Amino acid sequence: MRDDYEKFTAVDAEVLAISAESVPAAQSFLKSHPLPYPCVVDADHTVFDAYDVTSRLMSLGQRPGLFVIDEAGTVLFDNVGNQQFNIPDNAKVLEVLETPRSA
Amino acid sequence: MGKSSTVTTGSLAPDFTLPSATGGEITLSSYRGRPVVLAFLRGFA
Repeated sequence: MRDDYEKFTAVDAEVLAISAESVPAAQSFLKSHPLPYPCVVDADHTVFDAYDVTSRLMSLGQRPGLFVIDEAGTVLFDNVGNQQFNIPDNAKVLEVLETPRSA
Repeated sequence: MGKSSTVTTGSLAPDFTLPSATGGEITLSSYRGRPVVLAFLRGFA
C-alpha cells in the first residue's frame, strides 16, 4: 500500500489507515516508519467492530480489512481476509477506483 | 440478507471520528467528494 500510494492519489483517492494500537504505540511506530497517508487510532475497536474487522485478539485473530468508499460514502469494494495473505491486490483496488461511477 | 452490522459493497460506510496518530482528529465523512481507500491495519509488528 505504501509503495502504491502515488497511484491512488493519481486517481484522486485518499488513503486512510486505521490501527487498533494505542495512540502512543502508533506515534512511536510512525516516528520510525512514516506513512505517506494519515493514520487514525481506534484504541477501543469501535470502528473495527462497526466494519466487522475484529481485532481484539492477538495478531493471529486479526483480520486484514480493506474498503473502498466512493464520493457519496457508499462502499464500492470490501475485502476482509481471514489470513494475512488475503490482502487484495492493489491493482484490484485501483481497478475499482478507475471504474466509472454514476455520481 | 446478511447481518445488518456487516459492511459490504453497496452499503453506507459507517462514519467515525478518531484521533490521528499525528495529532488532531479525522472524520471519515470529511472525505465526501473523493473516494477513500480505508485500510485496517493488523498492528504494527
